[in-house]
Amino acid sequence: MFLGLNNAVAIISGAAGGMGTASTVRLAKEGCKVFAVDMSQEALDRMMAKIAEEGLSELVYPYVCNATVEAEVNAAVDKCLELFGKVSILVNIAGIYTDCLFKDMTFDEWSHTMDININSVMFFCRAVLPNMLENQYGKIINMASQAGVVGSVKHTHYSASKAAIIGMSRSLAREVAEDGINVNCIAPGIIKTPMTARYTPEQVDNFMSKIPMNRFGEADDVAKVIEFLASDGSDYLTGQVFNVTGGWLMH
Amino acid sequence: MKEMLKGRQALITGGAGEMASTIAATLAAEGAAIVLLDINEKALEAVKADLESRFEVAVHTYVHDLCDFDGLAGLIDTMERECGAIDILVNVAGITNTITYRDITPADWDKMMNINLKSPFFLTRELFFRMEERGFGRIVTLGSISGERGAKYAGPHYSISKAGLICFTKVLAKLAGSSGVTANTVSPGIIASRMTDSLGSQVYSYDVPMDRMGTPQEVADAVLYLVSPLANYVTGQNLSVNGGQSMR
Repeated sequence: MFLGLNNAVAIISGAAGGMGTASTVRLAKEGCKVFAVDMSQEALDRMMAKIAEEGLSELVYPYVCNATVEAEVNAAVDKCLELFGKVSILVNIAGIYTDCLFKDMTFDEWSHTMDININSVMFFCRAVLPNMLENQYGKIINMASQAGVVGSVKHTHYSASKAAIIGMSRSLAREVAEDGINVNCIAPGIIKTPMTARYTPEQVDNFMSKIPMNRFGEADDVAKVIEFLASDGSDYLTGQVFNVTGGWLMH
Repeated sequence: MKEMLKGRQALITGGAGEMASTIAATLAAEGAAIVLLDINEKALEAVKADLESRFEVAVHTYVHDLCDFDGLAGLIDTMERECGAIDILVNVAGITNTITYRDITPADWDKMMNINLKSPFFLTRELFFRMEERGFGRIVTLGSISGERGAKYAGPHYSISKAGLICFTKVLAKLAGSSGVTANTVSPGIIASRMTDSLGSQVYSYDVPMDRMGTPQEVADAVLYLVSPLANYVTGQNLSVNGGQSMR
């Protein structure tokens, strides 16, 4: 049995998306308080409706914040500390994913993805670190991607941003390993979203030929890994990249 | 989340050893029935008694030399006939040996490869296709940090045998496809145990970010995760439980 989630406090960025909502539900079910951060009030409202259905409203606090604005991130973490007194777990999910061939890439398109995907992780990690260092405990889980490990067509910018998160996470892991703080990444493969629903049958077949499990991942498949990493089952695991790809990526 | 493995039955090779018995206890705590396989009958009985005193699951033991390759098919037949279907396999049985590259003989190489690589290869086969037919299986094999990145102080043949197991896992996962069988590896770093005690201080190295050895329980937790429903979309992977000593 994995412990450490009951009475823990988690901040999840991008909480209102598919993986964010699934993770919020899983952690809250184990008694963890979740400070659920997202930039969209509307999306947070939808998420809280699902949370209410699960009977978990008491444990989840929704908060609107633009994770790319340092002052907003700091204010978010301050609010969490004010409400709950600590941050045990940080899950950085917020990020964007757009298609663009490199030959068509403008600097704006490039830096937009880099800024959102990398800076949001940096801001949140740095904001929670003082409290985690004080408590000599923390589980930081950063969303990378299969693309960040092996690349992906039309995603030079996205892959670069996710590879940056891997490098940053591993370095941070080394810096805080003796302080009881673990830093790990998750590299999902293709996870079902409204976007993947629009793939043509041809595109789907092409992907399936590479995925041993012959299916796309569910948001909950990623949330399950987050649940494990947030628990004490991962105490001696740090600086690792967890591939959740149905076997597509094995390194 | 308790009883994640209720209704499941796990075969753990090398079951009498410290790592394997910790894994057995961890799986038993989640409701899995346990089958232990080892060459050491007395040690097996002790582990069985301990498990039965702590958990309410069925525990069976079998004594077998895993290098008796001809006997493997019959052994698994007997196990499943006597205990029921085995849907989780944890390959732990293995040896270490720090003999140097200068001194190693072909016989040393053969012994290491037979126990560490050839025996899990053939034992797993006896269960793999049955698991596929039944539409469910969880195979976890113990690798090692020395299989990931090589090692100076572990025997050169040991590192190679562990690297072979990491690859074996990937092959299994690709073969299993969408059959409902997953195969993964757990690669421990330096774990405080009787095995590392006997290797002495030369084992400990400076490059563990967490600045401590791991515990058998921390390895067992990774095994539990991989055989639990939490890891349903995870296959062909190598979980490195090493305090950050290797990050790949």
